[in-house]
Amino acid sequence: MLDPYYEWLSSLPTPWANTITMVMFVVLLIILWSFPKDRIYGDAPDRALWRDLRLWGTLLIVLQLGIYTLFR
Amino acid sequence: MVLARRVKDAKDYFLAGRSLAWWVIGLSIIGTNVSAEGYVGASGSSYQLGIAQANFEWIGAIPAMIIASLIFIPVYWKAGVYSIPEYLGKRYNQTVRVLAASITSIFSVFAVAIAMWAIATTLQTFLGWDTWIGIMVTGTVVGLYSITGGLAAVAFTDALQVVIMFIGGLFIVYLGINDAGGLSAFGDALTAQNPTHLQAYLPAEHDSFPWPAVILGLGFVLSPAYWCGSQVILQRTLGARTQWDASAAMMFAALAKTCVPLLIVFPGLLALVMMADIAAPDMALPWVIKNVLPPGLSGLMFVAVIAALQSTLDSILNSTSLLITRDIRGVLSKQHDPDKDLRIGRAISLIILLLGMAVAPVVESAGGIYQFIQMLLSLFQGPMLALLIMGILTRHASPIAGTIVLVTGITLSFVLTTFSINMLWVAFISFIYSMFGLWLFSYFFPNPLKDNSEELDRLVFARA
Repeated sequence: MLDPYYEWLSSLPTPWANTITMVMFVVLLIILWSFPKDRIYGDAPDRALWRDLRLWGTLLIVLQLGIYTLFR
Repeated sequence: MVLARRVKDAKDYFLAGRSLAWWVIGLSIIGTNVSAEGYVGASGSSYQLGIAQANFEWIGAIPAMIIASLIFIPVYWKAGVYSIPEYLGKRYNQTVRVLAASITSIFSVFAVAIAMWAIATTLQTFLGWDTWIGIMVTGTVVGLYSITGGLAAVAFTDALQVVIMFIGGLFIVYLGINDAGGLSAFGDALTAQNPTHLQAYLPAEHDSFPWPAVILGLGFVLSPAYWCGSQVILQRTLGARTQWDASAAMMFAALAKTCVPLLIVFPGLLALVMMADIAAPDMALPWVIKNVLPPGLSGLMFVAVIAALQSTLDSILNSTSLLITRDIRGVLSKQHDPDKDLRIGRAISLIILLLGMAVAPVVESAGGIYQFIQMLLSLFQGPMLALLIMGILTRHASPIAGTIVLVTGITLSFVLTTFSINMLWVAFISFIYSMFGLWLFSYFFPNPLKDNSEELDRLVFARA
């Protein structure tokens, strides 16, 4: 029953994988920055810039974009 | 032993008295994660498949860790639960809680056995110890500190182990690339005989890791199920001193996780470049440690690997003990006395340890370590993830629908596995079924608390 789907999936070119992955990370970056500051800081003891987890997440995503560009 | 003296009750034992800082938790998460699924098994897989193995650390971890940090962890933390099954119990019902805890506990015994076997293999390679001696020594050492000190001892031990692990791992990378004549020469030597070994994804028709299955099965199901729903991983975030510490810990762990392939994937590639004479791929890492590092560093790295592998054991012991003590016994026992949880928790840790030691010798016949544990995970990760996503993101998912989907989803996974379908596809198909089923069954059996419940408000993301 699933054979036609498998055949179609198996025929997809490998370079698409890197492109799809990178698009996913960009979408995640957009979602990340859509979080309001209040939710990001939560019950943190202060509002120092280094506690903004959106910056941590951005660094992570930029690293991933670099990795999937390098290993194509 | 110092931390053991601070353990006064079950909260101290299972959640470190809710006192842990983000950096301790973050390092401990990596220690726990790398140990079970990483060092020996992943080096073996990268020896065979190349850098595509690193997808388990990148696309198969980072997005899910970011989502866990921002959405799932805040909800768990504010719900005030000890465990993920306890959250499922509050969000659905006690049947789902006991089922989820039971499935996780059964899996954990195998996970303990697999970790024991991995340590015994490494000890055998380095010291020539018989497998059973390695298992006995490991069981005794891990049992001593984890059973007495609880989560705080486990987390601080893990953190120290990870620092040593990274120092040793970076030395291997430096010396390995140096031996090969530089980064460019290393890459040329690697791809000369194995042209796909520096490609992040393998072709779509590949038997083990076809890229569409890696993205859909690993990226969308197995990875979020693990990072957003694994008790072993998330328990330490529930022991954080604040919710921000809990969320920051997962982000910090993700930063470290990005570098983990240097430690666990690179040795497999290095063994290939150096044309290692090994009987099985899982021997790649021990071979590299023995043949690349100078004697002093080799000893340090050997200690680091053993310690890192042990951090899996200690974490699984503590979390499984929690599940059995509170989520299974606590629910099923009609005379449950929370004051006895500490004593019972320690006794259960010991029993799990002994069971793991008994099963460990059988693991050898199950093939590659990493793929065996992933196969087990693929059976129930899809349904569990669906329950968590629908439970946290919607008010629609109902208790009866949750029970039906958990049982039928796992059954579907098992049936698919008997047709020899790739484990990543099994996870994806069972997840899609579970999401659809949960939505549909919730129409037939609506959630009685859907419209007016403060309790439900605390358990879903939109109102958390």
